[in-house]
Amino acid sequence: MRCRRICRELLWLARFGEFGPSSQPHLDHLASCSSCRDEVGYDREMVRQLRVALAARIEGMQPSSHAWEGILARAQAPEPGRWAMWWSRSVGMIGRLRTATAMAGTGLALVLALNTQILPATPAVEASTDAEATRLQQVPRLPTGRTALVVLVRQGSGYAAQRPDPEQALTHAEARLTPREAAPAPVAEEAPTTIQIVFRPQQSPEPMGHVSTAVATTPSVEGATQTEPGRPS
Amino acid sequence: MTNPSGDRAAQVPVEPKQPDDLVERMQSGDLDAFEEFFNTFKRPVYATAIAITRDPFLAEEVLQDCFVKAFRVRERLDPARSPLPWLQRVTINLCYSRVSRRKALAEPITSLITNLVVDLAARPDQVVESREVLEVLQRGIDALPPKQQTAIILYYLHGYSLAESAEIADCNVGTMKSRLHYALKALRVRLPVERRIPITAPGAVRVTNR
Repeated sequence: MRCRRICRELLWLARFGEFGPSSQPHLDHLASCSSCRDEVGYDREMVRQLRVALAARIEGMQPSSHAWEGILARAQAPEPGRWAMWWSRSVGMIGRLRTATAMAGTGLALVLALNTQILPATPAVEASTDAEATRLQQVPRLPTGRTALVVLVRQGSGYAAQRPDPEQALTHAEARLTPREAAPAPVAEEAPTTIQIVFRPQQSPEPMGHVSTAVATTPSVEGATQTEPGRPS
Repeated sequence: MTNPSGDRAAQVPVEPKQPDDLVERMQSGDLDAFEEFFNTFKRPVYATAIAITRDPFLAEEVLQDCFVKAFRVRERLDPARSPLPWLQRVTINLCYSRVSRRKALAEPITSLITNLVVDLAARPDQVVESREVLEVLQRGIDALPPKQQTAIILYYLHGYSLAESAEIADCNVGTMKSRLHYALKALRVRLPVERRIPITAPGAVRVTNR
């Protein structure tokens, strides 16, 4: 670690030619440490190559013989007036601003489009009394466009899926929720929600597992599936 | 005047000889003095422009713009001081304002010719290796941020001292050192291990314990 630090300082001193009386410990270390010597030697060689590379960039390069004529012609030409310069600067600035404004507007529109979820308007629930209306306002509104209501009705030995009137079924299911359960409304998931409402006769408590596989139930709303035995939910 | 770090490979004279009253005569509107001014300073200015842009046509545009600007603001030049730092600063600014508009720099024909003309006296494997190292360095210089590139060009190509480089780049000496340090570090990283310059090269350090 100490060697690395000394090596770093040695590189700094060597690059800028700042060796002095205070550099004696560094020089002593350099004399005894072959690793540091290699590093400093490598750095010096790289700088030498860098100088060669830079010199190669300008080697044989001269301004053309017409350069002076061009400069003289431009220098003798009447200088553009103050208004002309102001106008050209303004036009340039407006051009840059226009581009910047268009880019900022596009970016803002993209951000808004990606972060805004357009939900269908919930139908107004007509409540007969104010108390009923207040109670229903505390119930979360499920996005009807993303919700599939399925009612399984027992038919003979199996069950058949039926789509009831969504407005009635939803209102019925919501009315069964207490306000406390309804407070957090996890309806922001992307996956479609299927609410399973099961009619379970009391006389034949047949398990639902073997018949409900045909119905997608992810994710399910627990409040709507908790049914009392023998009573349709 | 030159920086103290090692031998110089660059050939750009740092401070061309300038008659004492050149700027004053130019300020009086003497076009002959302006031509003399141009001939005195055109080489370092053009060298900076060509080193940054690597395009002769673009460098000449920058050269013309720089001297036209110098003529237009000649009243503001200080006759007691060399105009070269000011010219270099204008050149660097003009170069980067143009280079940023043309992101992709085409390889100039001159570098292609340089690559074709090899030193026949050297061994072929050494020539190839040396050329590869130089190409890596050239690409590394191009990839440097403008401030580090400017520092490299001023210090290692023109041979300005740290103080002079800092004055041209409009920063303090510590900042200039820092830019050079990080530029060299970046260049060093770019050199692949297998293509690193051999330690036994002529520039390697020989230290004797005193």
